[in-house]
Amino acid sequence: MQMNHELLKITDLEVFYTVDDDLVRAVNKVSLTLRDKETLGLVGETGAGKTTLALSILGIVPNPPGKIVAGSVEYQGVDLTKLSDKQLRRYRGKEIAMIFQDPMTSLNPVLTVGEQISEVIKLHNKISLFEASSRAKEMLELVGIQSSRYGDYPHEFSGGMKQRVIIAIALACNPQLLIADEPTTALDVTIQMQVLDLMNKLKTERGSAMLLITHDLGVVAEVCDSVAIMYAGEIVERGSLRDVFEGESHPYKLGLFNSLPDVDSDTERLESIAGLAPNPTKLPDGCKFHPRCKYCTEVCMAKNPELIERETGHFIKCWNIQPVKRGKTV
Amino acid sequence: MVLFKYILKRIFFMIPILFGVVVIIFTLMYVTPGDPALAILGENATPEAIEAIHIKLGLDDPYLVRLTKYFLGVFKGDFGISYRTGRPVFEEIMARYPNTLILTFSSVALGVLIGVTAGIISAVRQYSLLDKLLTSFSLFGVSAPSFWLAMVLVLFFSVKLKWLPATGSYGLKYWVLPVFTLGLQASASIMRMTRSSMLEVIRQDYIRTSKAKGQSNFMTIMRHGFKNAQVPILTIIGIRITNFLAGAVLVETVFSIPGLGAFIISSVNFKDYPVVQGGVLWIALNCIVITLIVDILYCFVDPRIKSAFSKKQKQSTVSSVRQGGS
Amino acid sequence: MEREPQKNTPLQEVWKRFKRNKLALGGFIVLVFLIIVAIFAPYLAPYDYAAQDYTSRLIYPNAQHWFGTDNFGRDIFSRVIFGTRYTLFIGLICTTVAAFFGCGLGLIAAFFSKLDNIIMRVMDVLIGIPAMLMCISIVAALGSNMRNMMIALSVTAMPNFARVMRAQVLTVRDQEFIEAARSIGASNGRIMLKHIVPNSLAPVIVQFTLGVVNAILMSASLSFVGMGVQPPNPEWGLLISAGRAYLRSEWYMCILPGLAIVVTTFALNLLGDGLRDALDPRLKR
Repeated sequence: MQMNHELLKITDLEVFYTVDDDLVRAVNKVSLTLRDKETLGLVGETGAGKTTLALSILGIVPNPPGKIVAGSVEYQGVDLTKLSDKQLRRYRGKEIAMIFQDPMTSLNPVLTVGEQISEVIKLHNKISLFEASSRAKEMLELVGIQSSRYGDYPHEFSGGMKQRVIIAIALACNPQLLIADEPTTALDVTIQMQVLDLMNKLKTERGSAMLLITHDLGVVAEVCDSVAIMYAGEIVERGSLRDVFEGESHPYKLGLFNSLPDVDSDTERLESIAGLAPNPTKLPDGCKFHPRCKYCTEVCMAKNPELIERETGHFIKCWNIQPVKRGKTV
Repeated sequence: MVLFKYILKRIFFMIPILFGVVVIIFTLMYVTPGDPALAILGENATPEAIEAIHIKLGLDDPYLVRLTKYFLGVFKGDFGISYRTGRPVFEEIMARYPNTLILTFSSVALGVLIGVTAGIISAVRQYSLLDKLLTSFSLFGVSAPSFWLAMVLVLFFSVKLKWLPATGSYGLKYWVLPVFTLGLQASASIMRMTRSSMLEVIRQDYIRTSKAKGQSNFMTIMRHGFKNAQVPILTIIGIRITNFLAGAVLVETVFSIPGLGAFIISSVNFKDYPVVQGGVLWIALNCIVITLIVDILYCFVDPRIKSAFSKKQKQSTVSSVRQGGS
Repeated sequence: MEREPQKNTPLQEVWKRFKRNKLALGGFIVLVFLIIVAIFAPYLAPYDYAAQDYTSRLIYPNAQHWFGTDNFGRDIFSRVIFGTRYTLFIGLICTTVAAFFGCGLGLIAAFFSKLDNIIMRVMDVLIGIPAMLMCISIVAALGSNMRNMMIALSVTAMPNFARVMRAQVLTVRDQEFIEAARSIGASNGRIMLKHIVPNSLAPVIVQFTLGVVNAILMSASLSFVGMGVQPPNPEWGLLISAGRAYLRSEWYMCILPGLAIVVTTFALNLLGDGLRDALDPRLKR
């Protein structure tokens, strides 16, 4: 069955940055699997390593400070980390495409939007410039922008429209895997839903898989088939949408869910997770979350837990897995 | 159409500046002590002859009258008569200006060629040995006085190696050292600006987008990187041209090139003030024109500048720009 | 393990960043060294810089005369040492005067929009005339000596300070913390002094180092063509022009003083670059 085909398989990936003699462990032994047409939500706070993970799939982690140190990223069976930059270029924009977080700065200000879309089309197809530009115009229409705006410059568009252009660029060559790094965070709330709907619609129409990076659990609930939760460079919980939202919990995930305001309940104070996100150059020993964890025990401070499979496909990385709690479902 | 209006607007703004430049230069020469009549006739002139010259040149007229006369003269291309040779100042200027122009533009061209290339390489390979070498070299280039640099090169290529002649301006060989001297200086400052501009641009998100599309490194740097770095580079090229038009005098002196700068200096020594006045004014006017051209070129290089201007003109159509909605 | 927030004043932060840049630090040390040389010149120079000795003319650099002697038998090394005084004096004084008046004008232009246009138009005119020519004109009008050259240098350096100060003040003035200060009742004068000026200093400081470099190069150039410091003073530009006739044989007469200029401006440029990076860390990495 198509659903079982593994599109992307990340195994024990480690990505470090060297900044001013400090070692930043951005991604620590992360393993993930994504199947055909599946939408995986990657959730975590700022600085948890989500963007670095996304960049390492494409092999565009900024090289002076950053480096993939260990592990593999298999796309359709091919380990991308072993390929040269030249070989990787054939995948970028074509098989795997990325949508970045800030639309205001992700477009080249001195080229027209049309040129920027045709660029990616022409890079991966042996067609004439004219043919590429007409395809680009089609993409513009597809994302809801009049094709007559082909010759306009990015600064002539609003934030939401810029993001649509970026979506057009990402989807222009029909990628199998779409990586969206917080695509709606920088947009107005009213626009967020529109853009998200557009992405979802296009993704489903074209049958692409999507890795959606976000910190918004609401978005995850709307769009994702499965979820992975990242903390301090590690995946601490992962499973299907239902399992993660309604099943057992990693204390961090529990904290995230509990801190969401609920219109129906009568709370006076919102719950928050105690403490601050750890300094990536000085990560704690044992379980990375233990300093902030309500359920911390001796073993948590000493040893970093492994990912334990609870039900089929539901993995939790904790010594004190929290049971199903009634009350908070999003 | 928008472009045309932009150009007109810039020209319009230049006019008061031109006006001010003429006033300042004229006033400076006006307050210079010494009687021009004596300079023309010599020390032993008779009072009658002096008086005659005063009337002829209108030297006794009040300041404003003289200023206005000068102004009108400049408009017509009449910069006065040289005290030293009796020929029109404009003629004297034009006899020497082409040399200064050749020197200036060929050295800036050389500077752009070397400087931009080195700057881009340096920025892309930041922290590498090549970058450090190039950066130190460019720092040296902006620290060394041009006349000293000229002498070092003369010493090396002309005296020690005997490859190139040191003075004179006939034939291509004679131009090599002077152009090379100024070219090195120009490439130093252009390289610095290119490098810093590129470094800023490379950090931008749209560079990352380009790579994510599968674009090659080279094209990413050129099409997305360099194209965005051009504005400051253009600025410094303009500044260098104006610098050299004025400062070429030093190199002209060392290499005995009969350019306008050297002529102005010698005219100062001869107290030939109409020439000094005319020469300085002429170069200043040229520099203002260069600045204007650079301003206009900005529009071609960065569409945002053109838009910012046209937005002010077309307030009513701003809404149509936004009409696409979100 | 929680992160402790760093508690350094902005000044300490800047100094810390500056210190990390070894080259800039080197530039700073060289500058200090030059200042010491200038101050203690009489004690450091082995000979009297004006003493002519016809028995020791045109001697190549050796143990007795580190930089050789010129055509009058004067020791060039001593002359270069004393020349340091001219260089630093001219560079620092002219730039300080220019900074004072320029920043003052820039501040006024930024605050009083009625005067803004006039002041900036005048600055534009001054900038419109290339500095070298402007200096030549001023010196031609007033007479070729050091004082007039310094006046000319100050005048030509002023507009850049005015521009920089005005631009920075306008930017700072629009920022929200000024609005905040005003909303709690701070007076205009207090805002200007306590908030705007300190935050506007960074580019002015950078411009200052550039200005000193420029002043030094210009004064050497003007003296070289006879329109600045007059002989027999041991200004470095003058030393170079004096040695010009002897370039083919006694090359050390012009090359070595020129090297002194290069070392000075090189150090100042390093210092300026380092200051700029330390004051605006965005640009560094």
